[in-house]
Amino acid sequence: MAVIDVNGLSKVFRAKTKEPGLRGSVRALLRPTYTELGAVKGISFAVEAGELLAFIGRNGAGKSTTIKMLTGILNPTAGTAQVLGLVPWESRRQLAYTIGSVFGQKSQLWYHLPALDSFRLLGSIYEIPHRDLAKRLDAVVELFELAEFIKTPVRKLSLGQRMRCEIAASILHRPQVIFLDEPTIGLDVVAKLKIRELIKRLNEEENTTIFLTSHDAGDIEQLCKRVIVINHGEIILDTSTSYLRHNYLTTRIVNVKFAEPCPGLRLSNAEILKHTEKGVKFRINTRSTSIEDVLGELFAQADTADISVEEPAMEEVIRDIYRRPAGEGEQDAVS
Amino acid sequence: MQLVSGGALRKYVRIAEISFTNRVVYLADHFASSIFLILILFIFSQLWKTVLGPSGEIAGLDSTAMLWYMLFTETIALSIPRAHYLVSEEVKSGDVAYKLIRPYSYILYYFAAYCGEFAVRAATNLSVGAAFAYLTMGPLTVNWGKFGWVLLGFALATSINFLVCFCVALLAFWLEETRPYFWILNKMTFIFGGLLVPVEAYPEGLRRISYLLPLRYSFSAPARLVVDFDYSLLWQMLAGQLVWTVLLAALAAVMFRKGVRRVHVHGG
Amino acid sequence: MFTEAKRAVRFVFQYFSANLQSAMEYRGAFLSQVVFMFINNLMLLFFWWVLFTQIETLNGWSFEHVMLLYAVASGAYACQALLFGGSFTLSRAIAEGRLDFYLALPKPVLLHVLISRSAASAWGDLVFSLAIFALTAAPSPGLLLAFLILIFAGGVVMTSFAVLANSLSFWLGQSEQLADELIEALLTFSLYPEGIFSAATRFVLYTVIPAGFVSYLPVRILTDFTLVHVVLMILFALGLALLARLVFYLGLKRYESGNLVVINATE
Repeated sequence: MAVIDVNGLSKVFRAKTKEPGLRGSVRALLRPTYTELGAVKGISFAVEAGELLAFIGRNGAGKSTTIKMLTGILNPTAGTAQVLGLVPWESRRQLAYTIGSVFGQKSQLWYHLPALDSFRLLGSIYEIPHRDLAKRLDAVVELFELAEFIKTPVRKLSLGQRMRCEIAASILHRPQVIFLDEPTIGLDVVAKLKIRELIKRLNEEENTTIFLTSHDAGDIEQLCKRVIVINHGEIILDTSTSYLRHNYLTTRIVNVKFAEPCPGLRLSNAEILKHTEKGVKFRINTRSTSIEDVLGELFAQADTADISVEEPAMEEVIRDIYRRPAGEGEQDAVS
Repeated sequence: MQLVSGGALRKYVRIAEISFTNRVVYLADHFASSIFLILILFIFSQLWKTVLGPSGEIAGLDSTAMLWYMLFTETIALSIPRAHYLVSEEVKSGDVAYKLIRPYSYILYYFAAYCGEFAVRAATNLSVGAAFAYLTMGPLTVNWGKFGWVLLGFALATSINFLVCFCVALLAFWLEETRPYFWILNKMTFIFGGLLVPVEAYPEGLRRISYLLPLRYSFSAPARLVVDFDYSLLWQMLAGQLVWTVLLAALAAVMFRKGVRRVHVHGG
Repeated sequence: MFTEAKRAVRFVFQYFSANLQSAMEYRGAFLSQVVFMFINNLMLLFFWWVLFTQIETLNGWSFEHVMLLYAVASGAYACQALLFGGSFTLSRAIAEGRLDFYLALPKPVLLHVLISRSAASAWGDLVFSLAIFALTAAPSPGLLLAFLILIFAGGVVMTSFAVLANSLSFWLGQSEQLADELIEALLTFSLYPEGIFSAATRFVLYTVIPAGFVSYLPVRILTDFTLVHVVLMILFALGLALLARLVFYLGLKRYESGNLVVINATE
């Protein structure tokens, strides 16, 4: 059963336009003119129970507008959506008991108090019976490894510890779906790895559906089984992470060290990035060319000491996706 | 809109509790800020002694009663939490939207938090101020038998003050800057709340205006009731407080609903 | 000596006009600040107006006297805030290690810090002061001149007191709160007629918290002129300024020698 079902969802913002100067201000007041801004343009997708999905896009692509509509904060201009069988913007309060959400830096924790106090308060807010809450707290503390710092005032925690508490706070009421908006933003590498591990554990052990937005390619690569890419309000890609890896990671960078310099080297189907006396670096597109062919050509001309082949980072893949034309007919030149 | 259902009341009590605990962290700061209260109480203790002497009265209050009166109005005024600035900020930045997806009423959430914080501030101001007033002017004769009525008056006064501040804060849905309005509210409180002298001492015209505004019922009237208990004042105050609580609550609810609709349509 | 004084005055006015010009860049905000401050002060007078509907005089003080008191006190405050606005935040400058900047410059450190800031809203206080003065006294040019000299002297007293209060930071470390409370106390006492205070309190108000020299004595001079009072006023202002200067530079020695634990310096 789909826990999130979105059909043709659109959101158009109307922004007042104002000409500069006082006269402009007066005119804007008397006869306002509006420009319409399509933030989300008829997107459709479905998420099954237990999925771990990354919803990615750049700033202003429509990510947070979508997440706001799915949690019931914003009303859409057109289209339908159901989360756990409810229309979010009609049954916001009812939905609140069954979903969880963490929005970047908008904390649910009380700054001067230990996280445990905030957890107990959230227990009351979500109306969790007293005895259940104690058990649930134990389970969450164990799952997220919070025992060490749960009694420390939040202001004294590191950013990574705080985020762990933040996510823990949002799952106390056993939500079936959880929306995580940029959960790893601003964290150092070690803290990021920890958060990813915990999110994965949450998904596996409690079978919670996780809807995650991120800028960080690492989040997608290491965490998610499926990725939806949104650009200029439209979904430009909706696929599994492994498919993305195999079909979009089609370029390889080859690094070659020469045993002897080879100044006259010519490679017919590779793009040479760097060529010195010591070696050569080139890029191959594996969709049109096989690595073997290019290497054959190389061996015929040069005496090599060492060869290494790198895959491009997910970061680059995603940058590459943005560069492609979106949808039908829309040609967005993105630099 | 269903605000409170059965056992759901418990969550608001918990919010007030935790807001109280959160402020206790600042207890030392609160005591330090009582210095200002002491300063003006000192000045006014000397002022009333000089002006009224041992037997003079203003609006039926002698010098001791005047000082205790001011202690109570100032305690209310100085203990008002800064939470409404936060509401104003949240509304302006659109962060109010993120609070909407939590299973509680936004207004009641802030009311509960407000009460918790007010309790901490009022307790420190009142204890410091009362000790000072006792030492300089002597004890206040409290009619303990009527104390329940006085407490009720203060509780309703707190709700009115919360609602007034909350409504001004909600102006942020429509206005870019709410600070000037808080400032005006502050000045109106000074005059029509009767912070220094009971509004009964005002010239006729001003007194009438103050009777028509909520501020008299949330500052002057309850403070006066402590120092000079009187049944006709009590009934008049309670009637005024109830009317204003209902009116302001309705206004806050309507403003909030209209404002939130803008958020739903226009986004954060 | 004379040219040095002239140079100092020019220095003060250079800063003053630069501060004013930058305030004027935001004309709307500037004007509303001024208007708000004006109304704010008017509100304080409201209490006295109500009180004087109930009583005739207060130990010889009438409502006109109280108005004159407000004109003098807010005028003195305006002088402090407009010309020597840095005096309010001096202890923060000390605690945050911002004095280094001034130490590296060729101008006198204390004067430079004092005039580096100017509170635009204090224009409202000045306008209020002059308006109330015009309302109370029958303003002759001579009286106006006396008024201006007296509010300047009062401003010097307030500034010197603020410097002394803030210099506590040199010895006590982080004590901004204490300094703020003391400065606030001086201003508050300056706004109440001395007639309401007991003899012991009055003694304090002419010494430790010199509100007497900010407003009580100037009011007495304006209503009942005696040369002795004028001389007393000027000597006190001058003496307190010299004392403040002495204490500040004593403290500065500690600052320069690094004896002072500078808190927050790196944050």
